[in-house]
Amino acid sequence: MILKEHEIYSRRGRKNMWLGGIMGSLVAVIFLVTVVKLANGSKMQAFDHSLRPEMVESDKKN
Amino acid sequence: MVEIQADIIEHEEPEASDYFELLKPKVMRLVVFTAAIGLLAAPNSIHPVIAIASLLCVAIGAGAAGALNMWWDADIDLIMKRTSTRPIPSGRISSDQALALGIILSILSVMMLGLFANIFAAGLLAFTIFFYVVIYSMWLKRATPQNIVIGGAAGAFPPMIGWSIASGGVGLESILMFLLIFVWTPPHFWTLALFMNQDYSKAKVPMLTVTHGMISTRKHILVYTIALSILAVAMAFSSVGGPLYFAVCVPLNIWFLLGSIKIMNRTDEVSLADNFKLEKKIFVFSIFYLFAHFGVIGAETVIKALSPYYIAWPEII
Repeated sequence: MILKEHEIYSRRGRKNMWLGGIMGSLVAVIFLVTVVKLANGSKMQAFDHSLRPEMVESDKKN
Repeated sequence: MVEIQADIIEHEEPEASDYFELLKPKVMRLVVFTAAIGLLAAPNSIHPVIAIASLLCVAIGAGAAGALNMWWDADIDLIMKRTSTRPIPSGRISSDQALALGIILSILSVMMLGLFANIFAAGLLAFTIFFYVVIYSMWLKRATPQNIVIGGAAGAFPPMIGWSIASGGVGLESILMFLLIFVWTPPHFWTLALFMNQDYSKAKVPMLTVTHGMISTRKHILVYTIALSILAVAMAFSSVGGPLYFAVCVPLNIWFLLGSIKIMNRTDEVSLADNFKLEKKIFVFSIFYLFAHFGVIGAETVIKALSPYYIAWPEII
């Protein structure tokens, strides 16, 4: 029966924790930037080659 | 050239700190600081979240360039005492891992900066990484004693990137900040080369100390410091300067000039006798010099923003 875990597993564990933290932080940063950009009025939809109601509305206004 | 290391040294499982060291955190600190000042000094303001996220991209881009530089220079890093404990030459990280990390982080940082800020800033960051890795590391470093003169541009771009994050372009002030780092780099690195000359000779890196000797390098340090001082003082009369900048900049430049004159007047025998005490002191001072200049540019910007009745100051440039 193995009683002691090899040192390499704890080292890998620490590395994975760091990687997880960094990935989580990246997601948080992207989320925050998205919120700020939307709040500042950045476009929510890009042109996707299909007709949308708001496009028709703007045509009517013109 | 870097595969040699992978064959010789048996790799252990790298720690997270080994990867972090690969990103040259000390260089990253200076890059982020100067980019932040460039961003702050720009005439346009952006949301703090966008600013922090963009600076994070600049930091990652600088780290990526550092990793790629270590990948390419692993063979000479092993020879040089100063760099022999870096992750690749010490066998903690393989050169392939460093290359992969460098490429992934380069692409990620440029792409994210394009999305967070603007395409111009992202393009400038991409060019900076390219300049540092290809123009400086791969080409100039081992080819000419002018390596750090031209290659210094790579370290000088961050305030321009910071400025472009906020403004979307280039301004005269951002070019002046670029020039400040560009002209500061040669005396900074040549002072280092004076007391690391054996390392560079052993690794066959054609630093000025190796190709033209110590006396010529000492003269070059003084000439570049004179040019740097003129530029630094002139910047006091631009829109990023001001009375506080002038008050801090003048004594710093006098100190740097006096140090350079003392360095020039020293002989190699005198330097060897005290183990390059003065050269080491001026080298450390030069780092403080740059931090102080950019710090006071940042302080000027904040003061001007907070107090509209700040002392009237001539803006000639």
